[in-house]
Amino acid sequence: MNHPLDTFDSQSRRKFVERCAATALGLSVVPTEPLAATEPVEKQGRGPGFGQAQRVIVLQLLGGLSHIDSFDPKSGRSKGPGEAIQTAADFRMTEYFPKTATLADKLCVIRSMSAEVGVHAPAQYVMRTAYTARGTIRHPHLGAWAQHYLGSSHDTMPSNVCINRRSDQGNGFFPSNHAPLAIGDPNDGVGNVNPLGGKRKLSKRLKLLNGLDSEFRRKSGDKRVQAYNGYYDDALSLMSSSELSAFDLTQETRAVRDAYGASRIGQGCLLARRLISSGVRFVEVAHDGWDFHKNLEDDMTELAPVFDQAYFALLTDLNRSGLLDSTLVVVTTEFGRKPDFDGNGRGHHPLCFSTVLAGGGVKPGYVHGKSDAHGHDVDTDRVSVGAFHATIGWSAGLPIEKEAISPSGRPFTVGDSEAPILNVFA
Amino acid sequence: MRSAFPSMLIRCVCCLSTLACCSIAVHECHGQSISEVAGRIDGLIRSDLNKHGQSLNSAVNDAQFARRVYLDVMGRIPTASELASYHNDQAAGHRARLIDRLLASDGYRSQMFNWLADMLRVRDEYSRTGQTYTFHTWIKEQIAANRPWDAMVHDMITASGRLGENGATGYLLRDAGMPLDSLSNTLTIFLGANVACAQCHDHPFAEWTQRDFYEMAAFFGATRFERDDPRKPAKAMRDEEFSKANLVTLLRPNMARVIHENDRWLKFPQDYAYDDAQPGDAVVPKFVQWSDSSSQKIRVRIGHKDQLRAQFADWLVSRNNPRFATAIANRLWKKLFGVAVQEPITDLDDKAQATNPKLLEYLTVLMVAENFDLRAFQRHLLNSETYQRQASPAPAQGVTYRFPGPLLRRMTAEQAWDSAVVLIRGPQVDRIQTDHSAKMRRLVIPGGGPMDAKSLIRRKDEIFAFARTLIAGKQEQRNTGRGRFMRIGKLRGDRAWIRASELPQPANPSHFLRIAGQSARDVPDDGSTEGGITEALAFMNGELASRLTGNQSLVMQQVSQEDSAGQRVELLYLSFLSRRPTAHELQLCLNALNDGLETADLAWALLNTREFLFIQ
Repeated sequence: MNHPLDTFDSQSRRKFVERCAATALGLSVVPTEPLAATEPVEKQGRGPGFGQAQRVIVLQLLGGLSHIDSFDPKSGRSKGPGEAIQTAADFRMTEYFPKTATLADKLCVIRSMSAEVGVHAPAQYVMRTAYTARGTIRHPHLGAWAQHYLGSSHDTMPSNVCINRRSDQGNGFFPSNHAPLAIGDPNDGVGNVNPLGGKRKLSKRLKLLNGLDSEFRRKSGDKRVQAYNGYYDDALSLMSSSELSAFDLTQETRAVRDAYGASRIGQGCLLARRLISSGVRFVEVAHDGWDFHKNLEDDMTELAPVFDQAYFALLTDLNRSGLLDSTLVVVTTEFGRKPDFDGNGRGHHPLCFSTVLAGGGVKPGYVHGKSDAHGHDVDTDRVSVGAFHATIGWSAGLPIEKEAISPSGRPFTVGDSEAPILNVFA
Repeated sequence: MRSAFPSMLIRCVCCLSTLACCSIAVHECHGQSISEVAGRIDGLIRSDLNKHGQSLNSAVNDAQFARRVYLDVMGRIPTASELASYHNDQAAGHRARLIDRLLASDGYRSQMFNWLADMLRVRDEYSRTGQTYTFHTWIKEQIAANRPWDAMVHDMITASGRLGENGATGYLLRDAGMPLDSLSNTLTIFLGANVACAQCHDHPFAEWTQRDFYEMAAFFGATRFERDDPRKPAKAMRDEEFSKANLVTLLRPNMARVIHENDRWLKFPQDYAYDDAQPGDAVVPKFVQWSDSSSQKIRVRIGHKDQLRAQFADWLVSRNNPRFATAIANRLWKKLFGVAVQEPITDLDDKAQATNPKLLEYLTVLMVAENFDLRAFQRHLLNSETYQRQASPAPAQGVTYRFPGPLLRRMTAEQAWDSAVVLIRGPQVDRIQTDHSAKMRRLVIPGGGPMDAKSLIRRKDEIFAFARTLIAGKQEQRNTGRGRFMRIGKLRGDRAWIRASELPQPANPSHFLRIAGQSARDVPDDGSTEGGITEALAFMNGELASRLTGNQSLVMQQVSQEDSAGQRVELLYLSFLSRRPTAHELQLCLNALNDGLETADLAWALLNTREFLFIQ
């Protein structure tokens, strides 16, 4: 006899699992987040680029990418060991990213990013949320904002995923089901998706679990305890998802996997591409190791090609499949690096650095903003981290002017009330 | 603007020579009995609760107490037989006796290692620098010997030599080549000083100036701890006898070192923006000047460059620097009660922000009175009535928690893993230790001498002769690969089911520990108990659940030997939840067994309860 789970189509299986989860895990205690948006977002009359990105991929270069040695090369005393090269657009990059240079006509480089914090963890927090960590409040990452305003992006797949990193409370003050699903190693995918003891036993086990744990859940009155009901529901829903294979990189040919590179960022980019093609709206892929205090030349020679290959493969794939127009690909880092180059490396430098956008309606082959001759300060068109977030939010069709009230009663917006940089949109 | 000083620091200064200005003096709690100190803590909490119209939660029963204290001190749940022997001891003082027994256990070492490893970002390998096993072993030895916290920190700050011979150098080498980040971490971790911004500019909130920061960093100005790349000399030295990979392994524990260099000097950065110094000027070391006129100026013996670091360490861990004691006391309180008296633990700049300033002050004095004995300090907290009360749910955001009992906490990743492991293998797993430090020590090139790349290349013959002595064994002669000089075997089979403290640091990203929130050890205090979909999947379908509910699991074997279904259910409950089932729960389980489920399914269900995962 077939198990009922196997005989349903995806839609009714979802319903079945939901029902099963509802009885087994006490959903009556915590209502699931509505699939639809909290309120419809008015798209008409917004202006160029608004809502063009239906999906967003954010590549996070952790450690602090040197703008001068990548997207904003300088001559004179700030010059690093790498030479500036011509690209497919009319701006230069360093020779460390030769493949990306051939796609420069797809990129929109922002050379006038400016932030305040020069220490990794707090700066990464700012770059991820547009807010400074202070006190006990946790701010949402962009994926959580998108889920808040636009609803879930798929009925069984998560709306947000992060790869090569943890969720780190990406939901911020929004409910825990707004947190990204965290993939530690893209090669292992989501893992642990086959029910132990077989599908047959699963519903009986869940029923028993619910019965045994109901008293504790009722008594505890704790929101973290309640959050687990949601995690289990979403996990069960994912186990039955027809899109589950999107997490499985072995479904790709060797050639495709090789094209992205065997690195965690390479396979992470490939996984991101698979996920946004299968209903996930927002994917973060972290790439660690850009903190080049010493041995910048060696480290750059080692790390840059790894990223270059992954980024190139991702953009090429998205462009070929036509998804790039409706997908915003973002390259961020927590800060830049100092213009002083002592022959070894560079220190942290939040005052001026570069980020890159591609797809999602941004101007291709374009440079927004300018740094000064040494790359020390912003010369024209300063872009704050808040404005950068507002710009991504604009592209993703979020009502950035709107306030969301945290449980502590304070108002927050996408990009901390900053205006989006409309100039980057075509 | 530049004469502004942090209010907190000014207050420290008046306490610097003695603690006399504090309302509670050290001698007051020195020599007091455990019950007197616990009473004092309870009194401070009670009066704070009273003032706000609250009261302590009701007391926990013995079973709840045992589970909580095992998790907090041993780092894992008690087994059914450990629980039984505790319940058999009904004489007065049985809880205090259990606390003492657990504090002296092997499990305590594991638990404290996990806690410190999260704080100190312990990793098996630092990039470029190499393996760090000597540092792990050093930390574990300090815990086992109950070395006072001030002595431990002093050692880490002043450690010199090669990582292969002195494990304590592992602290500074964690931030090798990044002296400013290193200082920022040191001040944040050990003093709760919020200095992150001052590295680049005057601190906007805490009023640390960039100059203050550089003057403090200058104490490390003559200390060399770089990320020396062993690949360079290895490449120059390699031949058909020893490959580059062989030599990298051999050179790493020698090149990773902290040494004094008299001609080094910290300079102001090129973009130094203030007019009180020129970029490129040498920075003169100076303790952050807490300008209060009554303060006793601490003289820096600048002439003794080789002692600058020791002077910094003396200042840092001084008994008269109450902030050092406050920081560790506040951290330990958080460990046991779920939230610190002052949050965040990394920013104690204004102690008035503590939820209960008098309590924080008392804990500070207590820490000093106990001479930074972490075990003794925790013993006091564990014996308090407050600790032995029912846990509360997390307060709403913005609501102050006044400690009517500990907060309901989710187990840390390590507590969850270690609890599963003890169910699978039994309590003897506490004694299983992994120690790879000897594998590093044997690679220390005898006789010392300079260990920079150039010198090593020059000493090639001598180093090769030494290398030959290392491969006297047959296996090493055959093996010319990467593991020739240091072989760290993969953990397979039962060997993988050991306590978190003995596994790779941190575990690999797809391991249960990481999924459940173990820190990646990039950032201090980064362990997470947030939970998520992947964690739910791991608990339901992962290897841990499979192993724990399978035939090889000790608890399942014990359960199968029970005579009746009722007894089997009872043993499962005692093993997983440290209590007997209620009549209703027993009935649910018996019904399930009649409905086609087996004991493994019951175990699965218990493992997946919130009651298992949360510490009541």
